[in-house]
Amino acid sequence: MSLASGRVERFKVLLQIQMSRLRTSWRPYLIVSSVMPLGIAVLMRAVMEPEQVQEFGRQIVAGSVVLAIAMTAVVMLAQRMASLKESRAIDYYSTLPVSRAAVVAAVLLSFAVFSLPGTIIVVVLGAALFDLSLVALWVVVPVWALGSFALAGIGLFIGFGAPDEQLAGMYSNLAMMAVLFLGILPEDKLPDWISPLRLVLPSTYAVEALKPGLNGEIAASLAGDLAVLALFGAILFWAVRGPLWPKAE
Amino acid sequence: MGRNAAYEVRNLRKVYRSPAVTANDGIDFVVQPGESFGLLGANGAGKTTLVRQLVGLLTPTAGDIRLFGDPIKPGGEARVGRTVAYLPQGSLALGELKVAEAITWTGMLRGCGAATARAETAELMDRLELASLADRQVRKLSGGQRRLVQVGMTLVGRLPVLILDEPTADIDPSLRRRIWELLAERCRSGAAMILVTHDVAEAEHVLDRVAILDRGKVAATGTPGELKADLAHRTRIEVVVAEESSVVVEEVAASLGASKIEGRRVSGWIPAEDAIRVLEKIMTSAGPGALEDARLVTPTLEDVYLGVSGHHIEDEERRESR
Repeated sequence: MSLASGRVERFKVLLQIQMSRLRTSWRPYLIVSSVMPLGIAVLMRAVMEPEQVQEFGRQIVAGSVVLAIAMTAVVMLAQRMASLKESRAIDYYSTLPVSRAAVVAAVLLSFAVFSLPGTIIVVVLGAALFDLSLVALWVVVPVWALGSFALAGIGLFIGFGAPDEQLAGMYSNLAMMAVLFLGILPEDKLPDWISPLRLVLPSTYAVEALKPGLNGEIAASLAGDLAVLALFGAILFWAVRGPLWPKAE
Repeated sequence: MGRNAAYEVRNLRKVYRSPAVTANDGIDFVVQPGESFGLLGANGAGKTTLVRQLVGLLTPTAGDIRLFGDPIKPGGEARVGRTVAYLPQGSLALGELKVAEAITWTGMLRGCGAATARAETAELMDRLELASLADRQVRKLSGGQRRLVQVGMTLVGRLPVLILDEPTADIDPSLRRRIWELLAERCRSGAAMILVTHDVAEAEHVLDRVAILDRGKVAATGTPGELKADLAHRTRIEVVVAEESSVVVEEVAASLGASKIEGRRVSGWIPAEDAIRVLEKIMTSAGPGALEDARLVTPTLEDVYLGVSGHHIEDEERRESR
């Protein structure tokens, strides 16, 4: 077996392990990643004046989609990694000939698979609620893929940094609040001092990548936003090989 | 040039920072391929800290660990993973999987092809009496059954080094024997084994050499025979007084000299050359049916272990004779 095919085979096994783990519990993951973001979009639509729908609709739907992605990439990943660390099950992977990045990618991908249907449900129903275009629906797929990997950095930072699974759950929900407010609220509605924070959150670029598509346009900035998400993902995979992984004391 | 040792540990020291505790201090040993090496010691003696350094899960404060000649350093986990199968104490990895999946997929992660991993899994499940549990979720099994699955996960892939931390914890005696047999077979086929256990009496039969740790240091090392040789001049007498007997336990204890009393059981160490004479004297003076059990026990590795781990026979004798 060549080195590369050996790595691919091992990654497939890691993914199988993670997918099998979720075979009895996929329903809650699917529901949570779609119901909450959709609920927020419905709530916002219900309290809006008709003239605001045109102005804020794209921002709200794009923000809700990114929230669906963040549910898995931040909250679920943080709790899972904290649980692996707390139970010392992470030692199992640390003593196998598999890379840390492959372990994290397999866990993330297994969760992300369940967030994709939720993401599409949110964008389709959100577009219907706010009378938006679905012509460029395909944009959701690269944003989902790159956004998941980019946001996973936050999930891993919390999961490996929190002392236990419960605290990881609390911290990741706080992070979700940031994603929620900075993603759904338009920039001009936020205090000036928050703008720099938007720049360092991958969710900002995911929202910006989605917004033009909801008008049926493919903006020139799409490639740039996707590139920034890819860069966040690349930094994550560099970090997980060293600084982010639980330290050997 | 001779072949490399499986493990070579030199002057290993591990100090935890908070709270400041020296868990290992100046540890030296070498384990050759095909050799079974036991790490014995009381709780807190530093055994688990030591093996976690051997597999790269902890970084030594000082000293050198070499695996087949190559130093183990931070980031060198892949080398360890291709060579060493580690059974940790008490962790439950892959608990959500079915038994057969957990063993097979561990084999595949170690580089076995699917067919080989499945064949090895079938053999291991048969040897460990897990075949009927193949489709059960690991986390829903009893503690002993889960431990057996973990032993299977450790043995699959046939790696050249095995490190097992309490492999027989929570497992019933008949299955413990099966595990020892499996481990002995692996050593005979060339695997090096480092075994941490409290089950000294059973492990004695599979261990080629032993290091007894006491407060982070190697207090004694050698083959079980060499270690027991220090006690060869002594024999332990164990007597159990029958329930309805008129024999007074304290009188039996007095006839043994320094001895230990636990309910109706009396035991004591006496010079080996006096053993038969003393036993005959006790049995004669007690009379027929007065004793439930009376026997001579030659020193075991467990006696050595207890002696080195802060329970020295002489200390015990002095304490009991007061």
